[in-house]
Amino acid sequence: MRSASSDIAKTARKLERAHSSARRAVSQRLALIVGTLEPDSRKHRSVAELLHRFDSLLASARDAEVWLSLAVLAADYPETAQVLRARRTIVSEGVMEAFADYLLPTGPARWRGTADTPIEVVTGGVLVDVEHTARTELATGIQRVTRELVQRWKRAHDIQLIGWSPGYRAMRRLLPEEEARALTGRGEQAPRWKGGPAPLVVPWKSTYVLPELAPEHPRTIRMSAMARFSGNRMVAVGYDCIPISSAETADANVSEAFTGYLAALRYMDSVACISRASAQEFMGWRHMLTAIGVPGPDISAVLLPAEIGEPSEVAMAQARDRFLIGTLPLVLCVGTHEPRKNHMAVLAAARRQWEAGQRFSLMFIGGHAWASDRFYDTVKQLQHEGFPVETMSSVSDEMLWAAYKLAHCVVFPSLNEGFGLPVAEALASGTPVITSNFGSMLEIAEAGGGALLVDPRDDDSITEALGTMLSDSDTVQRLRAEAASRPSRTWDDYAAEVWSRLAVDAGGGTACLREVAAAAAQSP
Amino acid sequence: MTSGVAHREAVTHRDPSRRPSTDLVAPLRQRLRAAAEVLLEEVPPRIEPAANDCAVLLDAVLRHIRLRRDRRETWLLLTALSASFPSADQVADCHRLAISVPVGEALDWLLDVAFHNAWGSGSPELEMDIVVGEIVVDVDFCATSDLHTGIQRVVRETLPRWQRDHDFLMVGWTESSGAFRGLKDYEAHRVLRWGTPHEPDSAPHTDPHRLLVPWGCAVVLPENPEPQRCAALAAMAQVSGNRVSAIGYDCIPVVSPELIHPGLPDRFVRYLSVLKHAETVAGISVSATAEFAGFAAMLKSQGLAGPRVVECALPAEVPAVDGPPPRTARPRIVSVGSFEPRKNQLAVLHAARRLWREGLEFEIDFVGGGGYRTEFDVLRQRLVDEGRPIRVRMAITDEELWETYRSARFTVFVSLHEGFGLPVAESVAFGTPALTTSFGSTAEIAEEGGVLQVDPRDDEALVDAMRRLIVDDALVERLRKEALHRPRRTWDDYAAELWPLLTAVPREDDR
Repeated sequence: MRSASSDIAKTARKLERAHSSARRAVSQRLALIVGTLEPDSRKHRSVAELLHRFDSLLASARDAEVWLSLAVLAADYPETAQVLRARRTIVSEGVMEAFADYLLPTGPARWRGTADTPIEVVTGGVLVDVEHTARTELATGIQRVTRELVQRWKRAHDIQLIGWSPGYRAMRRLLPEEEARALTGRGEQAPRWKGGPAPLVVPWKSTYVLPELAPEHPRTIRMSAMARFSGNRMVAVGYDCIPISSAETADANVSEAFTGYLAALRYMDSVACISRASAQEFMGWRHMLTAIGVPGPDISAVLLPAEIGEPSEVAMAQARDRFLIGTLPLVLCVGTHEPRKNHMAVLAAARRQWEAGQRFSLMFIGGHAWASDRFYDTVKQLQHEGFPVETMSSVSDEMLWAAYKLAHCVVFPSLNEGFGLPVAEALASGTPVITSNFGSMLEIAEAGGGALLVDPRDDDSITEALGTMLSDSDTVQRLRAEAASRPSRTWDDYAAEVWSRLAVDAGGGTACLREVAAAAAQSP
Repeated sequence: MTSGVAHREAVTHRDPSRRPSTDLVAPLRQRLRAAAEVLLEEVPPRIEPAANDCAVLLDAVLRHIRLRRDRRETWLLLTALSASFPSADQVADCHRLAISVPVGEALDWLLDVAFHNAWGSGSPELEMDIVVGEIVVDVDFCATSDLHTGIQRVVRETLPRWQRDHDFLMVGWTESSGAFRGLKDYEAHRVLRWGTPHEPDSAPHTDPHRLLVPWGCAVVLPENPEPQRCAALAAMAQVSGNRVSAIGYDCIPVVSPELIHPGLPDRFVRYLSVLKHAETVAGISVSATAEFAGFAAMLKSQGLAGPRVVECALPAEVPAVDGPPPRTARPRIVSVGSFEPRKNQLAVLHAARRLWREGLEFEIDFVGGGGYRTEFDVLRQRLVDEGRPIRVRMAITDEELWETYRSARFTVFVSLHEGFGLPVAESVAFGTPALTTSFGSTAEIAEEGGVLQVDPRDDEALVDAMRRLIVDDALVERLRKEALHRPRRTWDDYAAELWPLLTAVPREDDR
């Protein structure tokens, strides 16, 4: 093996000859790494001194320190193969050789113009990844849950919301506008970070929380390496494994992206699933990991709440106009029209009840989705035959709450749900529900009643339950009473339970320290 | 909406690629008659012209379905109409309409779907045979391809033994991937007598120019089916009344997507959507069985029992060889496996490099069929340039492979994910000690002796284990003895154990 000190001297000499901005960036990043690994050491050193400290700190090739060094030096979180390569090169050829590409900016294109990117190492903090939620005003289920969680955590704990750099190469600070959007769903169109790229954030002895779904390949491969090597505590909220367990209902590439997400969860510490049914899916996946000798994360279930607001009198009046047809009882069905939601079965059951002489109107609230043509064809056919069925692609929250209140019953016989939100919301409004006799829908129904359970794969079963709802007033009254007396569960309850179940606090423990190497912020 | 008759005319005349002179009415009549004979107590008498016969048969079968309300019959009717297997959604939609709207309207819908399928993936020029209560084995890939690695070896070892001992039908798929068909003579030969000269006079197994439709059958999938066929197979498993069972090789695309080519996970999950309605999955190792059992456990959340998942371990049969093992000048390490990151040869190369630097004397042989260029090749070239004794061979004969196993002091196979780990099983079957991964299928093989285990993600442990096997003669001798005393498992054992697991035919009153 070559002598470490001659390698260091060589590297130092090459650095001296490098362009000043690159030289400054390398020495600042080295100082950041050394300062992070030895918080008590003195701050100011020459490049040669820093290289010596770095060399001796990294010589034992520990995973976490190799990961940190690669992330900071490259301003780009490493992938698994990069960590392994650096680790092996340290052992066989020394620290300087292992990091040569990063320490010598004249080498291969490691820098990609990141010399000016400020980097911040957060020690002992809690970083919450809201990459999607910060960029969109959409409020799908996942973004809704994420916003409710981070709003409450932000109030109760010292957390930092983060997103990802362009191309998903590293985590970064959020712009104020993005942070506002992550918290509330509203925010101005995000301007660029003032005065250069947003500071990258590298967690060290911290907790990383993923409350949303991460499907992007460059993001998940970096999360995977971070979970395996970085030593940070990493936890997530788990929604469902439908792209694997019901792949026939997933669009092209969705399942593949999801396997990448699962690969990132593989080395994480804990996943809090939104229902027992969801946890059952993740536990099935974890059982598969025995084949690769990986224990997988702790998996627990924290049932989502369903809090709904009180619609105003005006909204109720509007909703009566829009949703009710004369005095016909309203059967409401909420959800996108993808095959998994089983709306074809709802249409078949409704047809049979109409033909049997039952009088009611049927309203679908939910958007277009993958493979929803047959649904719309069938609705048109029924309308053509004169049956009172309507679809509405989206409504405001308040109108939805009003619709739940006005409905005679809600029908939701889905084939697979991580959490059947319309079931929980209808019951929270005091409206009885027809739903599937398994999975999360059964769980919600069992937590206080108010539902008729059906086999969603059997049209007769749904038809019969619909008949009961429309003609058996004793049963409807009983279900209404059950729904009205269900124990309420709030987002406050949920946010506190998820925080403690994921042991978010267990990662850091010390006060959050932020060390910054901010090349752009300093004048030469 | 157009009438049924118009649809029939469209099927007859519209597709120019299907030789306009081809009569599509006669085969349609045959298929409908075949379905009617299975479904109806009294089949309407034959009338002319054929189109009228079709109309009468269709009407009779539809009325029967409206009476019986049995979804399986809708599956069979759709299959007969379109000469292709329908998807579960199509069966559900058509069945709903068949039993709920007036006959004329139901016919319109049915013909609409049937026309769509006939046009898209059907073979409307073909007649069909309905086989009732039999065992049907889909060997399409082995029948139509000359590839002969992992899965194909299992199929070509197992099927000839089944043929010797049992009755069953082998099928492939139509060119448009719509339905089962019989096999050509040489296709059956490829499956049953691989590697022997083809004798053209041997009787064909089934008719390649006729569709083969299972009814109340056990359908066996010993291969991973093509993704474009999975919707039809899932429907066959879920709504047709047939029982579908499969050999489960591994779930690498779902569990370890980072180790394989992009595109494979999306293909593989289509296959899982078949297995979710399957009767039985027979895993090739405890490890593969755990993977499929994990998938089955997920299904409870959607109210499905999932397949029964059982283990039937693959054998590792090697030929008896005479004479002492070939001698090499210095200890030889052999590593067998295709060149891809999953096999982890890079870690082996790094370990070898460190041991050479320690001054140990040994050579290393990498043997693999195919793969692609990775960091492994870069390091290998560097080490070869430094004069290290590394040999890489890609295409070698079975005989050369066996000699290579026998020439080794030990083999090393530290894969990150395997359904079975054949090179470990083969190595010890020749009496050569193996160093392998301490989890999953390779750890199972290790349990019966002759094997040292190591965590393949722990470089230090790998270096230590390889060092021990290079320097410790007593250890190698002990492992060699253990290897020679391992219980032998043969293809005969495997084929015999697998057959009853996958071939339970539905009871007659359950058809």
